[in-house]
Amino acid sequence: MKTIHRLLVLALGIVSAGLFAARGDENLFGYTYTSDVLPKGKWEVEQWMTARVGKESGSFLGTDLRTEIETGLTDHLQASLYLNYNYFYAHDAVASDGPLENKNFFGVSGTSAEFKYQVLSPYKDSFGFALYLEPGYGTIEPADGSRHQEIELEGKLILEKHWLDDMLVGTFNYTLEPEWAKNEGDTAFHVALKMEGATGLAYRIAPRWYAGLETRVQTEFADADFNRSEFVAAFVGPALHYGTERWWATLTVLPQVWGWPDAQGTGGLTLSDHERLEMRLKFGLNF
Amino acid sequence: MPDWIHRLVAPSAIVITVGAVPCYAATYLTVEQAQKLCFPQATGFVNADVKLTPEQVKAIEKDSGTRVRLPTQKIWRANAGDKFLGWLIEDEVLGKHEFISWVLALNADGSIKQIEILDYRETYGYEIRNEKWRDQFHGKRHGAKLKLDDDIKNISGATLSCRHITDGVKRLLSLHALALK
Repeated sequence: MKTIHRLLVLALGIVSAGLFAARGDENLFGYTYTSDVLPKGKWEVEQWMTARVGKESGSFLGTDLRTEIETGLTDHLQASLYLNYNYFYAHDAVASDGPLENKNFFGVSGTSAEFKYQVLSPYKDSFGFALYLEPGYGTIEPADGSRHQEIELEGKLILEKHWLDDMLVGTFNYTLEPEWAKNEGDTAFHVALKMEGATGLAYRIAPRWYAGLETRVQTEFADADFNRSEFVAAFVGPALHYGTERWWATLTVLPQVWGWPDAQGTGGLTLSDHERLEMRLKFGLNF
Repeated sequence: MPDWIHRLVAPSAIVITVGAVPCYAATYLTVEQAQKLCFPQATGFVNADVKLTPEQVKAIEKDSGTRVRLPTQKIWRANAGDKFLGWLIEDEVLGKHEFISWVLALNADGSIKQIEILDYRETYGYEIRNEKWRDQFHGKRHGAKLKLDDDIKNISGATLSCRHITDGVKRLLSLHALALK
């Protein structure tokens, strides 16, 4: 079955799972966070599905699945718990740094927790500002589906601004994420530092609907050494959001627009740790 | 591809069709019900809609600091016989997903008599319908601060709705001062 068919089948499965999920806080964007938090005592469940397709050649589909349960601990602080799992399919796939092993498997990677604290509200203050922390443990390498052990601690600064009576929403996230990873056969953990800048801009095109654009620029430093950048990858693409009183859904499609290093070691598209295209579909249900 | 994925397709299609949680609109009051609630002693309501000129729109926006979305405002004069009791103004403001329909009742002297929520269809924040929250506006006049977390208490989880209703009150007080007096 072609990669796109596998994608559609998996999407249908995840949509089904998502519809029975509990409810959570509403995400206007697939990748970029806003500063909103759940009110105290409220609950939400979300289902995420991210599909990453396209290496240099061959067939490659990396699917990152997350089921999240979220609650408001106070009116400013929300906490979440995630179960993370993946599906990989690779056949004769070649990444920028060489061929990949053929793969066709579904596996549970691990868990993460998330804490978001709202310092300023975009509805009451000049802009919204939140602090975010996500510790996690995973056992599947997202780039190629290989098994490893990884501990990560993702920190974000979230800024949000509204215009036109809250019909236009802009957000900026700065992410710093140290990771400690040990591949199969390694005796020690290696540290890397991921850094990302992401923006989102969405406009309320009709009641319940927002449409906009997201951008991401990501880089990683081996051994947390700022002189040893392993890659730079930039993505730009559309985001579409639909929200009702009880549930919401967001779809973002992010093609890679530039990356380094490519297969020649220069700038083009970097297809070792990343793919040509990412798509993320998220559902949330409130109760 | 593993068989279990193929087996997901048919049940998934059925689940999507029947499993989607329907959203529902909540209409609490009609305009007619709100008229009687705000002015129980009124014997008649006379239509007094206002179509704002561009200059009036600019003036209201400058005075209130909020945008005028509807240049035509639905308004009624409430009378008890020959006695003028006040104004009832119908309005809508942005909620998180839908519009929030509401009315502002002004006494003859321009002070706020009460506000009533007609439709509210958001996930949180139904408390803006509570009398306690709406009573915060009672007696306020054009020129009042009308600021969240200041003279108007916010409702957690409904900050957007509270902000927009509060801004709506401010805008309609400006409209009364500049176009109805």
